[in-house]
Amino acid sequence: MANVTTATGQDRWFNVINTTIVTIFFVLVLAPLLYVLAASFSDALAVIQGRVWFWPVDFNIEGYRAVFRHPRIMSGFANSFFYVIVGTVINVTLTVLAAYPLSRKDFVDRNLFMTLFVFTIMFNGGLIPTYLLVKSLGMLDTRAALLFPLAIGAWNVIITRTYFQHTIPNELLEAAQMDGCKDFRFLWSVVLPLSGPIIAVITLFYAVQHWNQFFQALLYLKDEAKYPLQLILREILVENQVSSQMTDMDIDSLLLRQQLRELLKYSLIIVASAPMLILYPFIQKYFVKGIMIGSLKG
Amino acid sequence: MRSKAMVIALLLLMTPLMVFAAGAEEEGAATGGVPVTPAGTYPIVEETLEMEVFLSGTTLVDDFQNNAYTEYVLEKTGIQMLVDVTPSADAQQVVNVMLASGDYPGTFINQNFTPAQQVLYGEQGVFLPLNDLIDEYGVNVQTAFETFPLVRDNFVMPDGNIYALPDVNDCFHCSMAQKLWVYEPWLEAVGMDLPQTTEEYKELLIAFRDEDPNGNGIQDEIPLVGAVTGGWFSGIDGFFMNSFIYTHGNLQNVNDTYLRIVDGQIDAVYDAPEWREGLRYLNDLYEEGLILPDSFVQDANQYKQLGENPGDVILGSGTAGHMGVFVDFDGESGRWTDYVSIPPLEGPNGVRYSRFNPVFGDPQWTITNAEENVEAAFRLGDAWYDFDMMQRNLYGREGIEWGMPEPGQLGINGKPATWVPIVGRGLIDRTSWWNQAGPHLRTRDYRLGRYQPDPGALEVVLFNETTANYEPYAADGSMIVPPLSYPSNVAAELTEIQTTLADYVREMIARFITGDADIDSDSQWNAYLSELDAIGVDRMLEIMQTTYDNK
Amino acid sequence: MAELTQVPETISGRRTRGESIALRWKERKKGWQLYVLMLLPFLYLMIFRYYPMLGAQIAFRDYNLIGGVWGSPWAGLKHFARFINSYMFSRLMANTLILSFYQLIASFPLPILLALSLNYLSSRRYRKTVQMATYAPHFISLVVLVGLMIQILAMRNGLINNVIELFGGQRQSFLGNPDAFRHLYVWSTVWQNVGYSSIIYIATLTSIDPELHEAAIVDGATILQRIRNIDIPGILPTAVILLILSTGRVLELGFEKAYLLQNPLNLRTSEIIQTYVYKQGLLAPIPQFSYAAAIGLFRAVIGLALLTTVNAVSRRVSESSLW
Repeated sequence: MANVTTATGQDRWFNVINTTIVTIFFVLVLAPLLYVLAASFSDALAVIQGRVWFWPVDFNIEGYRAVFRHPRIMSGFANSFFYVIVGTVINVTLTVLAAYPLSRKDFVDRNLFMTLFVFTIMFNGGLIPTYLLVKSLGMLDTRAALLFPLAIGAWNVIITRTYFQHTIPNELLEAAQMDGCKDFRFLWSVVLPLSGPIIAVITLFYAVQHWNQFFQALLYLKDEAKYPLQLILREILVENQVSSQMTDMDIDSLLLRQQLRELLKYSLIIVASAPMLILYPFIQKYFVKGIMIGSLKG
Repeated sequence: MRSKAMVIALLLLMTPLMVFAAGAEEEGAATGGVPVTPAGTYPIVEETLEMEVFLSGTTLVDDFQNNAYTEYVLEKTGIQMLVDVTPSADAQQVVNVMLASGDYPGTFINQNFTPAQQVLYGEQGVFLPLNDLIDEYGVNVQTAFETFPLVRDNFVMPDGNIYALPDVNDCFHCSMAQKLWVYEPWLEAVGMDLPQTTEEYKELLIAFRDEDPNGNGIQDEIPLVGAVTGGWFSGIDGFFMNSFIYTHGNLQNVNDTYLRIVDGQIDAVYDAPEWREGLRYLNDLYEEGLILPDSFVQDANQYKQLGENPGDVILGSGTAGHMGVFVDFDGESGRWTDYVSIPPLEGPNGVRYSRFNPVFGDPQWTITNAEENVEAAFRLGDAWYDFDMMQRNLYGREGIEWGMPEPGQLGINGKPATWVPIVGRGLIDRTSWWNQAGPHLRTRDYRLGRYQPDPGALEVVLFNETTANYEPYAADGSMIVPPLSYPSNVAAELTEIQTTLADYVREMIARFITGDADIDSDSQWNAYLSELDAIGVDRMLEIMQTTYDNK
Repeated sequence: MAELTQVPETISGRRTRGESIALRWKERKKGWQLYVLMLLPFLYLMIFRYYPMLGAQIAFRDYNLIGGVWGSPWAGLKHFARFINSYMFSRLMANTLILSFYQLIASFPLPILLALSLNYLSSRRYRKTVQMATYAPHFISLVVLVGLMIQILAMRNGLINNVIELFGGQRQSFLGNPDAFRHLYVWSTVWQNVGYSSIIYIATLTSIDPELHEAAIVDGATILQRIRNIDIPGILPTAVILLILSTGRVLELGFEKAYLLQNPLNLRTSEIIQTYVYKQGLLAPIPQFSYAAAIGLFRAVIGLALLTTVNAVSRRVSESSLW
């Protein structure tokens, strides 16, 4: 992005205040995150005693070891990557296919279709009817069950439509139509190249949704080889739970389990969210001003 | 217009799919399938039989399918189990959907179905009645019922059928787990004995508050503390209210109903004058600054943070099932050995009870009409109780994780041991056992027969504390409301009232104790009573009484 | 309504009904490609969303296994009546609505402000770092978040109270205060989601024609003026649409966070529809499919009513609306 600050006095004040506020906010946001990170690398007793602040105390990696020791952790990662990549491609494609016609004023039935979409934000059939449907489509215990039932999020369709409506100038469409460019080609050659930011956004939203999903997997999958990461992580958390009622444990074991549980809470968050955090900078690249429009004008 | 017509046409085309809507399969016969060997003999089947079973995943087991226990079961009974596991936190929802959609396995091993669910699914032919099978093949189950008549009562449904096998775990100290612990060195520091009455206890707390028993010159001592989320019996109310009226309830347990039985009548204790007295006592302690205010909002982590305070001890006394709830079993601080239990205190009217949790048995092992080999499935369930099977399920492989006792080895209760652990329970190989999944018969003698040479071990300590301080005051089993199965036409109304009451009673306990509501104000107390009436206490008791009488 | 006459009134410019219909068909044929584009999404909607919606009828029945969706006995409005007449109904509705609207109003402007703020940070690297950091809290699980909150708000040992005491103030029981519950709930949600929610605005800001800004700079406009005249009008359509959609979801507050923050002292304000339904489910001896479905339907209908109202208002007041 081009340097947009100017030298006028008012702007200088603006920058000072702006930067200050952002920094305060940054600290407020960062503090708990640092705590989680620090706790995940600390000794459990230190965490329990509340001695951990923003730096690990009595560094150890037991929490992470417990996670990566699980036999299905790697397949969990692999499965999740699959669901994210394939799923997001399906999501984004269908969303764009739906959002573009909706954004066209000359699409006669656009209110009807809009209603159909908005309705699904408010109403859904519920757990059992959806389960029955998946079952009757033969999708139970298949990866497809995690890809198709939630293939389109109406929310995302609507924000994409809004983007198309306000970023693709009407003149562009008219000019193209006069050149004999049909809708398919217009979408492909003109609209999509201009839509980097919104496609990046919905890609991110869908990717995160896929990455975080576990309930669908819980419901539809039996074969553990297909389990996504979040489900495995949830299993690990449950597996290491020590209820206070387990008094017939010897002290050493009880202690071990309790300590592990403390650490796991934090290390699981880090492991679960790290890939999404790594993904973000790649998406951020698309939030660069004018790169799209400029290239078109040129 | 045409697009709308298209929509309708499409919907009509979907109609055939609607035929797939759930419908239960026809009632299955309670016999059938592969023939089994005579009762009590093994193997159960002549040729290897594969059987699909469903499990709610438990902690500390990584893999149920490739597991030493599963192999042992195959070896001993000839049945190869095909295990479908769901993490326990979500299992109930998944099971509900499975049953609702007609897509369920032949056997649920450890799914806890309420009496009402058992009746419901039994009526619809999904669960098979087990009565005849028990009579013909259920050698071990019969023993369980004979040893625990209360369990048998609980397992026979209003329609006369038994649909589940009981998991009986007679944990002695668990049956009286509502305890109060005090830091013994402070008793010496202030020169007082273990308190026996509510008044003596108050004096002790005042001494803790004022006399600086931890000797650091700062008034940082916390005389009494508890928690409301997490832990075990960590709520602060239950223990003390039992010095005024028998209270089967604890702020920390969301399922407690605070009910008791007097002369065959189910009674709610929270509208009694004695209840008010008890709250008044606690309010008095609170006003004196003897109860930590956070006790009504904090979770078990916070609780433990106080107990494990680095440096000086600040936690004087705390309510918990055992001291491990608020201190760590860590060699470093070693504080947990210094906390001892206080017996129930004698109230001003001589009332003195330990809350008692009778063994009603947990329903496990239900067989559905999707099972082809019913007799084999049943016998497998019965085999679960067999000592060799049970021991391996509970503790792993013989000779590796546990072993049989030598003569002279004694158990926790001082009698000859029944079994000997070789490695610590938390260190058991995670593919060598099933961590207690399924029904077992663990009698008190079995549990207390575990070889334990260390007199300082937790189970031994708890056994001794419970025997000495709590057993003498245990409430009688007849005072406790058993699990009831309500007819469906009143179940909805009842649940409504119970949920609202659960919220309100707890809210008012906390508010009266903290002074947010004035316990001394008659108008506020009467307003509280009217509210209880308005919510429907009488109606709830009426419904419960009818069901109880019809049992 | 145009009258049906034999001769079309083309002179006055008004069309007959018959002519309107014919015109629409012509437009449809012309835009046939748009319909093709919409085909797959439409099929998705029908199969995966609308067909299961027929199952929502269990809210009007007494769902049981044998009957299934279509065969269970009809119960009419029984479950709705049960909910509306229940003792706690007004308190639940009030708590849920107040909490939700509070959250809506608090969460609405901040992501926008954050996006604008970041947009004008001079250092690109700083901007990207802050963006990343604000996006991360979205991934902290609720259990850990609430655990952290309980820890820092504790009366005895909590960080906040320690600081208050340091400055000579009195220790407060935040967690036990029913009024504080709402503030804690809303602002912690804002903290968790402001970064994630600002992403759409950041994306929208970058799609604004940079020539507009260049022209404004040349004209001597200050940053604030540019924000007011360029950025805000650019973001406004998206913001309005999101506001409308959020209003529709106002009763959809999930149970988990409220449940975790609940304790006996704050139940007055912390018991919302979903926590109540959850507790009923726990205590209920049999799964309450029909009742839960009825409550879900009830919430959806009210949400839809609110959404269409706000939509109508916004159609008049601004250019953006859903329909």
